[in-house]
Amino acid sequence: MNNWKISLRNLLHKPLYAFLAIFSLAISIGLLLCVQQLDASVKNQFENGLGKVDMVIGAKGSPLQLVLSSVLHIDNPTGNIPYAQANKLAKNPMVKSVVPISYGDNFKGYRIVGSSKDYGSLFDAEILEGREAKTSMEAVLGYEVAQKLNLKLGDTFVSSHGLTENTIEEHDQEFTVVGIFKPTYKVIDRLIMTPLESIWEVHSHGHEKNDDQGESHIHEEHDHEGHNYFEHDEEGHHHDEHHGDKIEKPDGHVPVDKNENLDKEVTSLLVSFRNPMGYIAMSRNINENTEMQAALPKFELDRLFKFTGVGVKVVSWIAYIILLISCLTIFIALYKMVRERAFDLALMRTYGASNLQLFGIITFEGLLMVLISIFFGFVFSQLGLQLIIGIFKVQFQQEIQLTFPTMQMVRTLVIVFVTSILSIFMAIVPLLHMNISKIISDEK
Amino acid sequence: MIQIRNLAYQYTSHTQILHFPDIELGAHEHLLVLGKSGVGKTTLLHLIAGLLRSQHGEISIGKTNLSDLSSRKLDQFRGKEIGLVFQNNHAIRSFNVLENLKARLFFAKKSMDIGRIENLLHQLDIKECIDKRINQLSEGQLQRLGIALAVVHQPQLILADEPTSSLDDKNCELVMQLVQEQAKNNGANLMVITHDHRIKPMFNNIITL
Repeated sequence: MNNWKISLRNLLHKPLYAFLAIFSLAISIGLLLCVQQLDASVKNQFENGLGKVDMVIGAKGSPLQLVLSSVLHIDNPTGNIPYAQANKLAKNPMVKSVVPISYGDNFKGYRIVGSSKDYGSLFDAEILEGREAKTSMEAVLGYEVAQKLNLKLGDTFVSSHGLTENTIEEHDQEFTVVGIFKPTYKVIDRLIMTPLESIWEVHSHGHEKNDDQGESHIHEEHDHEGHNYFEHDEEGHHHDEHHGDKIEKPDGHVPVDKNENLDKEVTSLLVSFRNPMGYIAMSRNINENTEMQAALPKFELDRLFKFTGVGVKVVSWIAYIILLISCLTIFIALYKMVRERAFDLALMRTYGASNLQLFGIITFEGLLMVLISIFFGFVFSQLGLQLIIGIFKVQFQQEIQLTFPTMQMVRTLVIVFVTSILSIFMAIVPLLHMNISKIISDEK
Repeated sequence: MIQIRNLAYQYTSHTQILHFPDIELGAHEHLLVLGKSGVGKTTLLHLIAGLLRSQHGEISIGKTNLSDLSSRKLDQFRGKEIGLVFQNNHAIRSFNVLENLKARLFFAKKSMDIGRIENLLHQLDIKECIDKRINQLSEGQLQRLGIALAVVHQPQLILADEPTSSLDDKNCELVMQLVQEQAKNNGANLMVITHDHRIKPMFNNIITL
């Protein structure tokens, strides 16, 4: 027999009451933790997803759309820009790297992204098996793509036009899987990477075949607009306009000739800087003086989070209100217990228990409820998150890696704890005024 | 050894002051205090049990003067040295019989001897109830548990407040026998405060308030 055991016995004496109090507190704690962790995880996921991309350059349009489409691959592209610009930018001393990307096709819903070898390093992607893509029509799969589509090294597939799955507008050329990336929990997991030349090659054919299709296409805006804004090397122009034809020329020219590609187009350029000094000046310069736009992903995401943050705040406030109500439930449960069991408590006093000891017993009882609630609240939050992640996986094909915002969670739990301790103490106050003699003689 | 001198108590400044006669009990002596309702019987019992603090006079139990004790010490003293028998016997409802007795010993900070508890329940003829919940006990069993709770910690003084007033003649005698027997077994003083004249023949030492 000890204080803990007595508390536990008291708690179990009215199990339904205890259960309700614990359950409602656990739900609100769970909701709070779940919302906060989800918010932190999604933010983290997004910010992680940016990799080392400091600036995106693409066709004019919404800067947020440009970031979402070209960096996070969850939106449609704004249009195309001349590839020549990449070379020009790369010469700027503030720029560390310029990675061009070009996309507009998919394989079973997974985007096929043409880029240079540097793309992987922007996202710290490493090869799990196989090797990097070296020549046109070689592809390296993101981990999730390989898993979901059950593709192995040496497998081949054909792409279809557009960014959503369809079998009507399939291209002729076959891609060959030469490598698979390790899982990164970033967007690259669900991309199919290939050299830029593959995209050009596929679409040079596609161009002849699907000429009349109106939708955004890697190749469609290929024509001359935009070109006049850049002084590219004149060498770039002595080649045939129909770059794709190059491949089919009997002399077997491989289309990796740098000069030749300068009149081609890409969807966007991912720029990383040597130091943060260049961000503002360069993006303003591009936005004001060219037909392209520059967007700063971190800035755009902050803007986005400001919108979504409202939702998180609303849910958090609801959770806090539920928390307050739950603490009230605990308070009422204990207060009622102190009232209803006044005689038991008075009896304990006649047995030799001090007021302080009864304080302890009831506080233990309250604490027990709070601790059980916190435990189940945590369990609820994790179950809820697993469910949400499952939904994300199905709906958005996006694996979410949970982060533990430890400081935030600790802060929330401290708030929970302090509020519940406060309600426990408020419930105990009547004990102070307990007149044992009166309670015992009244019961006669 | 009980000594009460010049004891008086007043609930509020507007109420009448209750004066109590001096009482002196030697070792193992029993006393019956008779009195009608409203003369302060329960007040006297609560003063002796330390549930109320007297404004005037002295109460000594053994070598301890109650007015010398701090409230914490008084709680401890009550727990260790006094056993209370109530008219309607009460026990802690969330515990079973054994746990109630264990809790009694725990609060009194006395060692727990299961053998002794079983023996006590056997003497009171409620050994088969040891694992029963309080609400499963009959009135008679509850009464016996009340006696067990008053003596399980081997107190110096057993105080009984109207222990028999709701009982029929047969049970009245039986309960008083049990209480007296337990007081004897434990070598304790017994003080019964009641208006029930039926138990007069069972006491040699009687005072009337």
